[in-house]
Amino acid sequence: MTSDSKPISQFNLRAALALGAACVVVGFSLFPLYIMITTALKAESDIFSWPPTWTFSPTLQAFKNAFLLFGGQNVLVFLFNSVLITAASTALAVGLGSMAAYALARFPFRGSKHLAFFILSTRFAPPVAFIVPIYLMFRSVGLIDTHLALILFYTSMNLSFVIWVLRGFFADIPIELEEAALVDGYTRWQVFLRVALPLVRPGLVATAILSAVFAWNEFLLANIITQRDAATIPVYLSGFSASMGIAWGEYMAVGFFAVAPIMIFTFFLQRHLVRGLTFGAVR
Amino acid sequence: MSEVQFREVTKRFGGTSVFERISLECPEHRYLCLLGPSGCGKTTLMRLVAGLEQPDEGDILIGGQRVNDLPPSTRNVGMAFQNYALYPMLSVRGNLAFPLRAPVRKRSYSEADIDSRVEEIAHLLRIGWLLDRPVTTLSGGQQQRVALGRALIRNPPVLLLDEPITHLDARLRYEMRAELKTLHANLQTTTIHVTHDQQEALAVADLIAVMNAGRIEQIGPPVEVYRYPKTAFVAGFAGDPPMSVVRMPLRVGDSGLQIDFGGRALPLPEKFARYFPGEPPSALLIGIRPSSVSLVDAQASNAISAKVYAHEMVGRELQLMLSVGDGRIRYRSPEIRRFAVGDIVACDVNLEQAHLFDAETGAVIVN
Repeated sequence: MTSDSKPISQFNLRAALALGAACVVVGFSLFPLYIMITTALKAESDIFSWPPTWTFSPTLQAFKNAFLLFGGQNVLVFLFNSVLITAASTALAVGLGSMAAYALARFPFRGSKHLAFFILSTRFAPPVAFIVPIYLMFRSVGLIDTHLALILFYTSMNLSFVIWVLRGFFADIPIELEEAALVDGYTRWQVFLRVALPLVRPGLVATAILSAVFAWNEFLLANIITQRDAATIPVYLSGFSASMGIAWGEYMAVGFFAVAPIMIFTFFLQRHLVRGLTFGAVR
Repeated sequence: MSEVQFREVTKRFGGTSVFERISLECPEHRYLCLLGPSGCGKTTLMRLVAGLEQPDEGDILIGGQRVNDLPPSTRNVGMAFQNYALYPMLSVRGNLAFPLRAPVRKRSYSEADIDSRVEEIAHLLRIGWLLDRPVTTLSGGQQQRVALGRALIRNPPVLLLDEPITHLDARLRYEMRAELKTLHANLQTTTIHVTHDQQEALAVADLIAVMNAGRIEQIGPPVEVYRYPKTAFVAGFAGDPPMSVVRMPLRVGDSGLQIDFGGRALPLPEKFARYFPGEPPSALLIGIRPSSVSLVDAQASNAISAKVYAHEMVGRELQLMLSVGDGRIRYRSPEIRRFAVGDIVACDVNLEQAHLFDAETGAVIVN
């Protein structure tokens, strides 16, 4: 990164190679996104042309079809469900998780290590392993096809992860900072809010992003315990092909709206995400 | 009223006790230094005042009021931490204002009050020009001032300083000592200052409490602690340089009591004899200041053979650590001579100015 200040004759070969490698990786990652967006903007005849057309006149026909025709208004309901469930479960997971993590980090008690391990162990089994009991439990309390069911499930899935990441962040705060605030006239709860939380902000952001991505993308349970009222966008997308045949342009148009919110959310917070993940790693 | 009292306070961590039934008082407006080696319990004692630790037994009183059950936030003491403990997410101004914005003082300070108070304390500590800097960009000395300012900003009746200037470089430490003293003279805040540096304690304190292994060995004004140490530990800890405390056998010789000083029998000075009316103890701890030690000609009749254990220059003076018998004594001289470790030298010890301590208990017999 210092190559800016050097004369061109001393051009840093390693930096150039690293940059080239980064471009390849980024291109590789973004290519599907590119295909998705261009397919959504292509006329149907262009989509299947071979060789692929790299230049075409964009059309919004697929978006119109997807959102206005054949019951497409429903997409907005699914999108709304996704946003609501993701936002609520993320807020709950990070909110409750940060309190639990703080307690585990700051108030050790007999067996607190075991409790922390128990919390982690809830993530050992793949979710599919307990999908049937979960379904039965939700059915017996009448939560099938409700927002609350998915919010509860995603919160509990994310909690253990949030607690474990944030516990490390809280433990890294010098205890004197909190003691100083206690002496300065703050109660334990206020110390948590005013001193501890601001100091672990990178951790909060990192866990919020990962929790939101999980909730946004989760398909398996959503597909099983929701049908209509609380179904999320992945459920809608899976149903797309079955009812329509595959209308690729429309499919990609909806797909774009399925990806965009979480991308925007991540984009705005990613600076903290990067800092957050390295902050915990290099002590 | 803001005197701080400990009444028979016991503190244990797990099974091990830090101190048992300790009693101590810091009168109002005084500057008390808790002086002792690391691990002697001095920091724990101070944390008990702040409420960051709870006593297992006994009472802690501030201004005559028992505060055992009060949380730290309501004790209204100011505290500066050893590592400064500044809030990294706040500016200097934010750090100084933090105690004033505390919920316990809600509505006591308007924003205008806070501003003027911050300016005032920053001016006092000469950090006004730093107010809008993030604390993470400050030097150690500047951070130390901010920490002090944060502790002082609400005019607490009691100020606690945990090794406040230990981490500063030597020159700054010297300056800050004078400043702490001036600050205390102006504000008259009852202050408890924890340190392991006896120079620092002697320089700033009104009262010094010397602690060792969970006990208070002596409490008194610096001069008293320096001149009249009550125990051998205090004698060997306070002073610059501290006196050397050596254990030497005591014998009854032809002409009265004699000290077997590294193989040479030195008569116990007449003025000390009356302290041993009965059966004399078999040994004594003898405190000897460097000024009582001199180098003599090896043929002299009073010469004590000693071996150079270490030599160094302290300022413009030569300091030797001499092995005599089982003990070591310090010698200082402005006269510079070359010595090597292991050299055999002859020295004389003037016992007239010695301090005698009980060899068993370490308690003073005569200063």
